[in-house]
Amino acid sequence: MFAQFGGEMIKARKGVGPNATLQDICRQRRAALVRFFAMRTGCYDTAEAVVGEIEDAVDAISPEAAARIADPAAFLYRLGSDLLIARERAELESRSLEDEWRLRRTDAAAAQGSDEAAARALRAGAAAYRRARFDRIARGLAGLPAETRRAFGLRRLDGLSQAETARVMGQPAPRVERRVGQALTRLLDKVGWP
Amino acid sequence: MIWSPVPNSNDPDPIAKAAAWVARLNAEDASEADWLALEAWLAARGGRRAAYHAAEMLWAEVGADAVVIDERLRSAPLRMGKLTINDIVRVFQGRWLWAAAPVGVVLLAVVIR
Repeated sequence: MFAQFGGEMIKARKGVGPNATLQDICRQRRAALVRFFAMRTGCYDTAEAVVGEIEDAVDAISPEAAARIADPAAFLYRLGSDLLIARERAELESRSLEDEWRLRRTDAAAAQGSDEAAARALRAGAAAYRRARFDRIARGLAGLPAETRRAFGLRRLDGLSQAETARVMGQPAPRVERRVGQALTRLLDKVGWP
Repeated sequence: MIWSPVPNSNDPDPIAKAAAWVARLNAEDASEADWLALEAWLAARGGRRAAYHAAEMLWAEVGADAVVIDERLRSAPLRMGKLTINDIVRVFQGRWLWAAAPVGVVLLAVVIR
């Protein structure tokens, strides 16, 4: 999958020499990555933490796997973004569970006087919230124009790459990308986040 | 509308642009130049950072919960345009032909002998 982007890989590696390792490229881009994630998050400390996680992840990638990465510089930004998203999703889940716990504990304790009842109510509340959220997303997707819905479904639910989605739909990749963007816009409008 | 960015007359629709960025940067051919262009876009004032954050987090949420969302869609009156066997055949058609070629050569060799 990476081989077809070999040209981009060579281009990206030009600045640090043809034999540069992913670690070299990561070191060379460090300041730029911190700047990007500070802009992305509005917090320099978070940006530093994310770049630290990128470095740790890069150290764990084998040279063989690293050599298959088509555009190492772009890969570092993608990796950092994924790490940031994972971190924010975990924080959000933990925070909402804490809030919900305080609420449920008070309600359940007043009604039944036990932490066990509060824990049961918490689990039921979290599950109900997630069910409602899934339904809203599904309804949002179902309301999209057919081609837009199909492009987004193939990309995000079936996990196809953009090129694979384009092949399945028999459409140029830029059009698929535009439809995916339109679908996400409509979902943000109808479902919102969080 | 549920989510609303800070209004900015110079940037009337940051949500659509943020969603387009997420689509671009999750494509397999996203380049470093694309990421740097996003950084420049985020640097402008207005609701861009919040819009991009929301778009990226919703994208992640749908991907993470794809199986359950897919089940919900299957039970919804209006079905998604899902991947069918024919679609899979179209994706792999070329690859199967290449894979079939050596098998054909071997079979031919056996028949000739």
